[in-house]
Amino acid sequence: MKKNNDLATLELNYKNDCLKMKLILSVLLFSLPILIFSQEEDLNSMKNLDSVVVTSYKTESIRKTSLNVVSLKIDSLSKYGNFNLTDLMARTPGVSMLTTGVAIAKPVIRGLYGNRVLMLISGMKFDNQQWQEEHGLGLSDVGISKVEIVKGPMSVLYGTEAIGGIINVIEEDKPKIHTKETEYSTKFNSNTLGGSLQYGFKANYGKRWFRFRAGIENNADYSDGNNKRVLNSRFDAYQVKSTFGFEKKNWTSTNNYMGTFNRFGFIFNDVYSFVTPDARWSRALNVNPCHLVLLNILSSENKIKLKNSNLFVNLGLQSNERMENEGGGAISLNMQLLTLQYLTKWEKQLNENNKLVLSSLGSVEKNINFGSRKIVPDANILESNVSAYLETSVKNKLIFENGLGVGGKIIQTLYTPTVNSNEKIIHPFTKKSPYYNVFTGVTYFPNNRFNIKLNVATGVRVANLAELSSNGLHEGIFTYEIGNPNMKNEQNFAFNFYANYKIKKFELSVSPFYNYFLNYIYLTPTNESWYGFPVYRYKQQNATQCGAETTLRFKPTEALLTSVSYSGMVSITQDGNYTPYIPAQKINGSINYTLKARNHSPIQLYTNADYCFAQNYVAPFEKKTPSYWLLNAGASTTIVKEKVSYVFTLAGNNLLNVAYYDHLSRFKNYGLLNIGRNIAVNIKIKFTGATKK
Amino acid sequence: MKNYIKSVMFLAMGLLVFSSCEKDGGNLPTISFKTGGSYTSSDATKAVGTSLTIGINAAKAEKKDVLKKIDISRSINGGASTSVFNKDLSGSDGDNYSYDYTGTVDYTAGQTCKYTFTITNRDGLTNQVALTVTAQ
Repeated sequence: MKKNNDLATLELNYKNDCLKMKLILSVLLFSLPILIFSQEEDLNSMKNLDSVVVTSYKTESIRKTSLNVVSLKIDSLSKYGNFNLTDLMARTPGVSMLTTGVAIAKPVIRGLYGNRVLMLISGMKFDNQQWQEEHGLGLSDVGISKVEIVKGPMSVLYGTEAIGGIINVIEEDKPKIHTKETEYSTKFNSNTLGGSLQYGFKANYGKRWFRFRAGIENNADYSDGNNKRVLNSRFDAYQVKSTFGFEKKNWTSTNNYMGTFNRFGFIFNDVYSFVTPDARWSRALNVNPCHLVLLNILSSENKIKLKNSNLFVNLGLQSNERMENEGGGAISLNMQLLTLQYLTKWEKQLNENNKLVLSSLGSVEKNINFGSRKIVPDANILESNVSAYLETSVKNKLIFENGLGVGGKIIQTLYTPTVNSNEKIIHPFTKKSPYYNVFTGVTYFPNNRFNIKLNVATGVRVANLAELSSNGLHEGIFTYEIGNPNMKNEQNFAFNFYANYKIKKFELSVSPFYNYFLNYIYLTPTNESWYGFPVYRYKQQNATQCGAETTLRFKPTEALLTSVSYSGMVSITQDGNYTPYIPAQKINGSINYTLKARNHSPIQLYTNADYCFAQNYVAPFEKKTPSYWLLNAGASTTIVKEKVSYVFTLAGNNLLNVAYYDHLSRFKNYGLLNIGRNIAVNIKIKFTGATKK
Repeated sequence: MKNYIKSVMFLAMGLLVFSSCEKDGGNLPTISFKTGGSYTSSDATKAVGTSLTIGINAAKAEKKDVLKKIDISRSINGGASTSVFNKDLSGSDGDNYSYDYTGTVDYTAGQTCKYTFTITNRDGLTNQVALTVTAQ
């Protein structure tokens, strides 16, 4: 396997990028309308500003909250040929993904990721030890109906980690009353000669409903834009979901179980020194290094109608078991994180113009090491947060939102041999970290053509176990990492602005932001060494981030929609260095067209082009990456025949098979390119019938 | 009764899903001094200016293990330890590694020098052997 880091060579191939970019934009903006887009994806269009979101304090339309929220409607199989849920979200301006191959992807909101982005699943905080860059989320789009992305902090409500943004994964809803739906779907990826199979069933009996969904996925090693195999980038997954919901007099309850098991081939510094190529389309994951993630979640979402108010009570139990086989077939690292948590909200309309929401959340977590390799110690973690929120509406055109939150987190590390035993410099400790947050915002929507929002909020993140107590060799990278139990809370002050204006066939939205971080935590090399391994230490200093996203849409006819979006940002620490993995500036152009023919189902066509600028704003020791552009296109149609519907989707990504390094790909460090051309074919068949009354 | 059985099954399944497995403490890689011949393999007293050879054999302790690095350091009269040899191990060296360190008693009479040989495996687990040479 070639392991060069010859980014300079690649740069030469892109010396005419500026010209290419102009060409793409010209084609997209002015060429004949060919294709469209019609997935119900919300890019903050005026139409979708009426979408109802639930991630805020209350369920309401996007225009009526000062938060910058994007709502993505997702079918059980996306029409975009994405490999995972993060891949799909990264098509939103301001959202990108930190990848380790095509399977391991972490969402990045305005340059923040990991423990700086809070994930919600079934209304509960999702913790899967995401502090490490190479840890995948293990989430797919199986059985999901919607993802809401909040850009900016929301620690007032959700406490620590809701500092850069929130991703709320919302499960599919119940079917219509007294109906049942059975669904079979399949997907094929040409690049990996792999794909997925899904089965789903759900039924609504009026006062109660349930669903069951199962999926399997399997992909071989991918090929890059030079048609070279990236050995051991294979992955597979198994997913099961079930739901039981019921309605009683004043009580509505939805209870979910989700179980997933993911295996990701793992590539690190010296992996190719002992991994030899097996059969090209091998899917074996029991010999060479791989990550294994076993996730089980039980959750219960409840709404109770009280006299003149509503009470929401969510409960959840999660088990996240993360294992690593670092070669040889045996499990070396094995950590289990058990989380028990609750979130309650009490909502009361005080009068015609004022609404009060009081909320409380709490969680108990236990981290246990079972493997011989240990990165962080065994630990008990306790968190609690209470908040109050007041919404004031003025003439149904102007809404003021104000919130105040108080919380704290207690981390107790336990004696763990080789991590905090006597010979180590960090010993077991208990750390208490109180925090305080405020939120104030305003949204103005005088008519359905104009919406302007501004919010100022604080966010907080208590240093995670790795940052506080790491004391060991980082697997694969072979740097010796040392935490600091005296870390202060990372706190940010965020200013988020959003404006959307629609006039006739044009629509323009702009959303600049500014973030000031106190005690930003980062990992940095030192001059020390540990038996010859370089020592890295977690440190803190203030940091500043700013950037913007903007989208221009033009819809000349009902069938045609074109758009151009831009996103860009910088992030810099007090000492003048850039923070790592800042997303490169990006321009996306798309053309979407709905082809209608008499007596035939409409065909939805789209093409889009992504142009990523070169990223030269890099952290010390981080590699720069050259610019690149990708061309994507696809088509889909839905044929409905009585009680059966058929959905056919064809999606092509990186159609020109460009060889490129994305700046947020960790593989760039090993000289491994991103994925080349992939053609994905999806077929879904859905049967609808009536249930017994 | 039927509901009771269902509840017990559900509870058992839940316990299985959320329960844990046994802890694996891990086996340290092995390291030992070579003995016999001209090897110094235990504490010794040597004349200033004489040469000494200290040999070690290191091996992985488990099939899946890989030796990652060997480090040799020395500390004179209990002072700060400085590395005198350091090597990344790969290929067959990752399974077994043998090395002969050759040095000179280059410190003054009466001083002691502690030589520490440290082997580290892929998991960051280390094992050490050490000996002290006194100059006369």
